[in-house]
Amino acid sequence: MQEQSTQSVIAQLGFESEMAQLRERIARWVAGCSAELRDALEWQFLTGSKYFRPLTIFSCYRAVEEGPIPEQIMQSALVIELFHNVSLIIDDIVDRSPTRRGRATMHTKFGELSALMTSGYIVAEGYLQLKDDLTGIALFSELLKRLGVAECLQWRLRRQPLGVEDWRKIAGEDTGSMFEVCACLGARSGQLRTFGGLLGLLYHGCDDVGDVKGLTALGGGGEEDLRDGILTLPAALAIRDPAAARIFCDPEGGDLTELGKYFVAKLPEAENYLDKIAEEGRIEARSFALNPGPLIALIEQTRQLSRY
Amino acid sequence: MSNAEGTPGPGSGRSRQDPVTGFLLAMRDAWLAGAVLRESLTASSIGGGNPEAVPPASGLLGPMIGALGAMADFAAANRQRFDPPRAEPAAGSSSPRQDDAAAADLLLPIGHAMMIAANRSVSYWLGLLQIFETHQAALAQVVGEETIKGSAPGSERLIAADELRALLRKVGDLATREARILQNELSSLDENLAQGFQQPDPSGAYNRRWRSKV
Repeated sequence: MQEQSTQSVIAQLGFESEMAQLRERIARWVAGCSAELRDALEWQFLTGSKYFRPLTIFSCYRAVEEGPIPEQIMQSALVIELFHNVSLIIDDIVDRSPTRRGRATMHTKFGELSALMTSGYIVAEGYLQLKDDLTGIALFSELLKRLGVAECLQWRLRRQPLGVEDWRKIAGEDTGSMFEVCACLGARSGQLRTFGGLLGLLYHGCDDVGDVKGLTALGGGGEEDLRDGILTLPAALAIRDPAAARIFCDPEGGDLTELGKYFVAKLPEAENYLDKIAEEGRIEARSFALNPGPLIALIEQTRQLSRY
Repeated sequence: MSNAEGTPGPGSGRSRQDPVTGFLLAMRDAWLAGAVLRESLTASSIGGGNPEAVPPASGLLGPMIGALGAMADFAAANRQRFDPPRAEPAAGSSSPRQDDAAAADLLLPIGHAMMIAANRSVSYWLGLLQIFETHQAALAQVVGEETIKGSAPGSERLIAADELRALLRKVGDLATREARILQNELSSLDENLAQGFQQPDPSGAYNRRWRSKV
């Protein structure tokens, strides 16, 4: 359902031919990769992607420039999709997730060694694709560094009685950094960086809320986060209650069913908080984009993710 | 230089043909109004205290008001620039008018820049008011006796700290956003000004002289 909705935003913004071109480029790239890793790459890339990050790059370009999408932006869209998949492969290994988007994860299907080596191969290929785009190289380096730091930060701060502001910081470095970089790649300036950060924060929050609702709209369940004591938005709100905080901070894991009930009780408050982030994003788009329409469409689409 | 006594009344010097003068006079009036307001607020807050201990508001705002007055005078002197064209002056007699018009070309952007700055300033303060209004209840909790003394439960202190951090972040974000908007608006003004003064390229195609080195 979410994929359908992303498709409708792509159609609404008129990026159907660019998306088709991107899909074709990815297929061509996979076909030209080492035969040793090709099956794993096909497994990872040739099904199920929503291309929301490339869509963000195209939309940010359209928010500041008119005319067809230039080659450099198309190249950035390809590389962001490559790097996003690296982050998915690593996340799945770290979270020990058996499935994603309804099918086996790469490490489950091909083994951890193949998954780790394939992710390194993709990063190297990504930089090769960027050729002489020095701005792009700097932005992708920033992204990989920030994602690595965010993952460690999130793990170090698990099972701690923290607040919504801490969640904001972690999410801002995790998904926030991904969309910040998308915005900078699309606009080819820092003009929309804050917008990208807010879009990423919104995406991360909707993911958290969707997980608690037990939905697969965003491609995964929330059991891993609950089990590992990861600070999600519903968790940050729920552990304001000392009883919920006791279970959340229990190093043995505590009663997860009971903790889940506290999270569910906080869903309306979490949705309300997400509405505020969405509004911040709209204000940012209207203040800094020549054509805010595509950016507002991204906000509306993302905000729907927790509502399916 | 203009002074408060010499301020033209409503309609005076603010016709449709004279936008610069009207704008500058309005700006000056706004500053004067602010000065009066500030003075009265200061007087009421110190009550029966020594009035000399507080510098008069007109002293604080005086230089700004003076500058605006001077600019208004200058614009008034150039009013003919905005008037409908009349008979052309005799050959060789147009220099002073041309000089004035050129100076007014700079005056307009200065006025525009001041308006941008004033707008941003007002927008920032309104934003701050809105933030404080939203966080009023949380702030009251933070400054509550139990929270300060530490007798409140740990969870309540954590909530209060979280609310306070949200407030601080919002104030910081607001300042950054307003500063970025100000920068954007001034950059756009700067670009317009630069384009207005751009000379046509006299050289045409690239034709630099060169000599081969032996």
